[in-house]
Amino acid sequence: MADRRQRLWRDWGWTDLVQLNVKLIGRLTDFGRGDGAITLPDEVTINDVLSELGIVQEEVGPVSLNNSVVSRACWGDRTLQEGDHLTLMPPLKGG
Amino acid sequence: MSWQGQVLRVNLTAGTCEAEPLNTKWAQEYLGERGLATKYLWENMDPKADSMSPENVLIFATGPLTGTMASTSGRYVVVTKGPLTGAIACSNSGGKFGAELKYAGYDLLLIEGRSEEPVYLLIQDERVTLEPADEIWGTTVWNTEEWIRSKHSNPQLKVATIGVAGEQGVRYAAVINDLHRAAGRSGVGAVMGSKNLKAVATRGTRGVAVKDPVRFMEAVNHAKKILVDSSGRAALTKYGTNEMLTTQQAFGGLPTRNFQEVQFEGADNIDAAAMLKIAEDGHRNLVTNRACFGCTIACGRIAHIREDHFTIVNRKEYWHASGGLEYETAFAVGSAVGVDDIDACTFAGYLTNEHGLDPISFGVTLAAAMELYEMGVITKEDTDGVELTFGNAEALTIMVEKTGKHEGFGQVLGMGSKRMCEKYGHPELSMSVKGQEFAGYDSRALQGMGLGYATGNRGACHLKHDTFAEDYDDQTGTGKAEPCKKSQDRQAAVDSTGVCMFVDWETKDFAAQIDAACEGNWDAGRLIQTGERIWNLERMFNLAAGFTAADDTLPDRLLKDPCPSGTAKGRVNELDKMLPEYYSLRGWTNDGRPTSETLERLGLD
Repeated sequence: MADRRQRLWRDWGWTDLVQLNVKLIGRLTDFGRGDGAITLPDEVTINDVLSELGIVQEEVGPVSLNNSVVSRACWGDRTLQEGDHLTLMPPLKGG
Repeated sequence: MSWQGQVLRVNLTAGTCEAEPLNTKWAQEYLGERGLATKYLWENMDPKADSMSPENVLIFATGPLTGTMASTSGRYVVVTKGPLTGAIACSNSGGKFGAELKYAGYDLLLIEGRSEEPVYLLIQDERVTLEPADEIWGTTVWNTEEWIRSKHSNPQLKVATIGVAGEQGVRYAAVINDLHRAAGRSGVGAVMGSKNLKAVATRGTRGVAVKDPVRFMEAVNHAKKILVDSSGRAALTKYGTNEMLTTQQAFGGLPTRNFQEVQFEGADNIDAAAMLKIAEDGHRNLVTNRACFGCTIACGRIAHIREDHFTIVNRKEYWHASGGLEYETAFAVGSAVGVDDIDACTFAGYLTNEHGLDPISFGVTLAAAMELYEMGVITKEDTDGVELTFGNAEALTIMVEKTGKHEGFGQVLGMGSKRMCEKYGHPELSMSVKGQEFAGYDSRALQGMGLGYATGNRGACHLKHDTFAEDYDDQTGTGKAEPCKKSQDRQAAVDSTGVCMFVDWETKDFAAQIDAACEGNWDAGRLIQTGERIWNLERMFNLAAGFTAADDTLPDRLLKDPCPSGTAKGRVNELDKMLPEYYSLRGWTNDGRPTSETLERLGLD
């Protein structure tokens, strides 16, 4: 899948690509195309990854990038780098 | 309307059961359930009274929406002075008991005094009697419920009862209703036991009425539609609350081995996905989900243990399906004690229901005992020969049974972690606030949770505030005091309505249903102010009982020991930054007392 999408991005004219490691937690595994390695154009943001995976922002709670929490306010402008580990968790409350 | 307009006052010393009119002024000020019960407690007992004495008052309270068509309207609450903490106790439960008590015609059941002999209370509309409980004293929750229904040839009776743990004064004994649902925290079951009251059984046929039925159903249907469309609701239905375990594991907030760690290597074996996993032989831990009265979420779990598992291989009485793991149980008898055997954890959960124990306080107390054991402070001589090491699934199941039956080292565990750790000279190992053990969130990773724990009126509690969104967004103490205070007020109001906290409605959605159901004009602002009034009255009870600002704190492990891993690695809880801001927002003095202006504003002067 990753190779095919990589070729697709290149066919569309993107030559600078980054490979990310995305982990989905809990109910988020029910959305979109699943987790694992994902290749996207460089300068991609967390919001771009959510779009790529078919997950709406409201379905996501905490996000950690390389084991550090990223504030929701930064999801749209924090660019991701080659090899980054992104973990997306559901917005669960206690009970 | 919506309120039934009656309080049932039972004096166990005198043996009297009398209905009296509900104080409607108080109902307008405190709404119902948690709020109204707090007001009745405040007016009916001395907060300094010993929690296990006849002077303590035990209140079962419904809310104005309990038993109505509102979604999740099966909630009731048990309010009393808690023996685990010495603070006000407020334990909320679902199932069907609350609605049945309301249908019998009562908003509150207020129990005073102490019976000379064991009794149970039988409520059938206006017919209320105290019945001898000699034959069921010393038996389990499950046997008691079955026995009472059989005795009265009435399968419609709904029963709230204690097990041996409550009879014997285990400090975190629960009141269990409908076999699997618990008013679990703070030892409300021990208060019931101290009064020689084994159970309350009720059957009601009076129904409930609302002020404006057409408008009420419009508001109810709107709120139900919100739930139908909610993906969070759908996930609760599918995964139950134990989806949280996976999330806290990834986040690094999953208390492990008595809060020494925040991630558990065995998490995958006891989480919601593990419960859903079908083994090669076709066995699945989760049998089905279950809803409480009027619930359109159905987060409850019904589970099955492998019949060849060591816990039940020779005990066929446990081969049936029963209440399965919810998050707090999974954390407390799982990661907190280092056990990742899903059948052992499920069995431990069964036994907490069967014997009437709070699984959180039990698990965290056992975790402290395991740390004491591994430090060499206690040995096999103390633990009845059991090797009490982290990860020992057999030790877990032996100790939950001993605690439930109040036998051997179970009597020590039944003291709760604070008293137990003090007994062995290591109070720092008790992971508690005001004597009540933490729920399944490490407050180095979730800072606002730590503030909520520290300021919790019933001690450490994850249910009386909601700072999850802020905690997930930022792991410092900045900006946590205001959402903590505001959510405490809001939750106090929600807990006073008679519906479940999982509905995730906006405050205006609650207000629309309350306003259509009850006398008075109710909007979101009034509900929030009612919640603030309730929170402050609970605080006044605790201050009168002898608590001070010094009790609004956390163990050194969370304040001084850096978080060992996860997203908060290296952090400690910043309570010193959050607490002064919180007091200021509350309108309290620097030593945590409501100012005269605050009391006057809330009508508490």
